[in-house]
Amino acid sequence: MGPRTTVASGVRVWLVLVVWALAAALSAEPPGWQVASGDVHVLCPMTVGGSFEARTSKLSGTLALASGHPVALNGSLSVDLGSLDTGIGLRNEHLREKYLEVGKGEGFDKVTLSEIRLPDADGEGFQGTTPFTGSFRLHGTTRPVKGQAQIRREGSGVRVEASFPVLLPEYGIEKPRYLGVGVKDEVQVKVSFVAAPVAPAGVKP
Amino acid sequence: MSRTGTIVSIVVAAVLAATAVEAEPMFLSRQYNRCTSCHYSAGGGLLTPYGRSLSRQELSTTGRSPAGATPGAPGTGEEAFLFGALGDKLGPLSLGFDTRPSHLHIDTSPTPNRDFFMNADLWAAWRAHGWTVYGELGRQPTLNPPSSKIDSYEYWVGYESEKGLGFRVGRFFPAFGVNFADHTDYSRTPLQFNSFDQVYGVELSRSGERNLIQVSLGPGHADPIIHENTSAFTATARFQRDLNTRTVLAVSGIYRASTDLLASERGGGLAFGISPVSHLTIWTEGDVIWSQGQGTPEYVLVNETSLELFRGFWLKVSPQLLTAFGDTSGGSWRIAFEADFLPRTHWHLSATYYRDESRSVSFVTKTFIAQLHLYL
Repeated sequence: MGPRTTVASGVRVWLVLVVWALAAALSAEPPGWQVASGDVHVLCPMTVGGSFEARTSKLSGTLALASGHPVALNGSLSVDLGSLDTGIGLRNEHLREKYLEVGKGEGFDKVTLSEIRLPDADGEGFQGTTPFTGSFRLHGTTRPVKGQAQIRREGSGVRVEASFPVLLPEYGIEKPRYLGVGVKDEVQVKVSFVAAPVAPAGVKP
Repeated sequence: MSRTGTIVSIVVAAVLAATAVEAEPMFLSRQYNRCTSCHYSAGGGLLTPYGRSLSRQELSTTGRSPAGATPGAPGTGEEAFLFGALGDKLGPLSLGFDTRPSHLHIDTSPTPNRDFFMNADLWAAWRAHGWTVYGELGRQPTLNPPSSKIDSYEYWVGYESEKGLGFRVGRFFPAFGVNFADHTDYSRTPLQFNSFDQVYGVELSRSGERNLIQVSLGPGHADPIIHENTSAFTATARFQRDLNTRTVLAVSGIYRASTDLLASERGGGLAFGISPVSHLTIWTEGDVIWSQGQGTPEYVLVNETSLELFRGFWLKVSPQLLTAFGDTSGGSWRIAFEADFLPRTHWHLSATYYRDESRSVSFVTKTFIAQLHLYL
């Protein structure tokens, strides 16, 4: 065996080691999840008593574990507000156009929840109920929110059910009123989704 | 009078009797679980400006304004009183006119076909700063002798705070169960809350996001107090729990003291409404009424299932059971089928077929009524 053969063998060994190290590093990177399916229900109490729900299944987003102790998530969840449906056309029109002003475009057409923190959750394998905090962007305004989340493993994915209150005046939304009937200032948002595991590369902090 | 004759008389009286414009519980499918979303009075009657707007934009087949059009001010659209002819001159005063030219056919009646005005009522309501003053004046048919008179069967003053605490004083129907749009349904007569059975009283209410509580107290039915100088203390209570925006449970109770002619009564009812899918609403109410000295109570079971086939066109089916005091095998079965068509704001055409069958004798009555319901 000559010197060139020895050098070539050494390079191959190094390549193998580098590839192994990269693979090991990648596998150690925190996992990510992409919303596979979900529903958002917004419970709107009416000023005359009773309440109605606005619903959509246009929920999307990708989340990744940024820190496990306690859990902090990179990425965001996003809802297409133009798809919110209250069951009747007039109410939909008022909700989308007059109050949420989805026609104004970016910052108004979608609502996003990011910077999610789960202070009582410990590690990526957490299951159970935990409070959460997040940054909520609605109607061009970003405000902190906090609520409760229930997390369950479902196969290789995760099922999440979360709820939190939103005070409409804090987001510069005009008081919804029409001919003496309106929606009270505080609405309840309920989010339910199943997220499937994905490579975390595309998840933005 | 024979039993069959009695049944025919009851059917004729029930269908001929005028009625207030009842609320439409079928709108639970639109996530409206309170009558007062669209009506000034709990249980129905004059539409609020919001209710009028909804009757045009969401109920009529062709009335809806084009997408993106800005709804006009109250009183200015076609949904307003007299098609908006008065503009916004009325301010916080709302007016409404309601009439129902009808054709009635009862196969067992000596005069099977009749054409008549079921009612012709003028309504007025003034609402400002939480206060409401409400009244009706209209034509009331009288059966003995067959004629009519001008009278008022509902008038009250009420207040509701922003927190949902309210009261009203005057003449009205006390809250009990579900006020179905078909005023002849079996749940009304046994309670003595039929067409003109309003009481004098005070009602206290608490309307919250998920609960509605209504309690009424008073000296009893208004007409006997006015015309016969007799009264019977009457108290009712109703608790409604909205299990979600399309599912409602209501528990009701009533106590009525005795008079020189009638024994005291007490009763309870349970009503459950659900809209499992869009355009479908199912309401079921069961009541039991005890009358002093009658032994076995009277039972009522009413179901009303409504399906919107297309915008403004509804089909309803309503099986009903009514037993008799002291005889749970007595009473009547009813099955009712109805088609409702609301082609344009203010116009409501309905056709209803009833089949009433006595449970104690072999006797069936078939009734058909067609109505043009104009609410201006």
